[in-house]
Amino acid sequence: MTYKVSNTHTSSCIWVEFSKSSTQTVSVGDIITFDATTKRSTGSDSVSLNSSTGVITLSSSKRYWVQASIAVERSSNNNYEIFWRTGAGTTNLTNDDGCFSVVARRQTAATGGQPYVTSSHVASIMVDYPTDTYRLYVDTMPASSTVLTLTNLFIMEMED
Amino acid sequence: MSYDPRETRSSEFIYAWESQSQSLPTRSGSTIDNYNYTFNLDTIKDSHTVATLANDEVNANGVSALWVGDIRDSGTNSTGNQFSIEFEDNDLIRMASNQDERWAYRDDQCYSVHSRAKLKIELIRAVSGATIAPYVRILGVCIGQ
Repeated sequence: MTYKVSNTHTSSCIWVEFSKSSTQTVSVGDIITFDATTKRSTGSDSVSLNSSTGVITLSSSKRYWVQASIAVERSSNNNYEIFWRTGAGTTNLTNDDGCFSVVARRQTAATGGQPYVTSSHVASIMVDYPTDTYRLYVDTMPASSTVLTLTNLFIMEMED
Repeated sequence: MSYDPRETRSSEFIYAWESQSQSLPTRSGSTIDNYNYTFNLDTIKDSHTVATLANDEVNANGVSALWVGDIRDSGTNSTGNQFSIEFEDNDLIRMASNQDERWAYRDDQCYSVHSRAKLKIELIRAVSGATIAPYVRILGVCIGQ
């Protein structure tokens, strides 16, 4: 697969996918994990994943669009938020970092208790030449909720 | 999959969002598909400064891109939010993504292929007027010219 990104420049693009082999029970402070053995790739990529820690390692010489489509079955009627963090970081990354979080809200009984809410379930990173590793941090979540096996990680790797 | 944007500055990834809270309009009634509401955008990032942002529209300046649009809004009226989001311009078929969400595992993003990206509400029955925190986003990747 070849992407010509300028009239003097050709770049290869590889799609990489990871999924989950089993559901994951999560609470606040947990990391969303994927199963490294589920990896599917359209070529020889530079992406690696730690199944235990959920840390995603990318190449510092390439550019990436990472998209995590996260399916959650909440244990109770409440909000959840999932943010990107660096592999060792303790703060949530922001839009300024090229990172976009997952946010889902539920309305309270005061507004009828009905889920008249639009949410977002895809967490994205857009980053050129990353020098950090990344992971998905559960910032808000009803205790003991379930991340379903519908959850997937798609990575677009562009070689300069 | 291949693309040739013929762009000398080689910018593949573009993302834009709204950094301030914004209030949605209030509307109820029968369903229409030309409501013509535009979501605000005030910030753009593009490592090679090919794209520009003006009047809530991201413009890749002639380079066609695949765009993904998303919002997060918590409505407060009794009938809830019943509207879709879509891009104003789209070289693909019209694609309006439903935002009247009842389940946690649905993809409610919208997509387009075009050189410009402006996120709209057109197809609508009701919108609550809620003030939403910064969560309007457009992400794009150049795919051709």
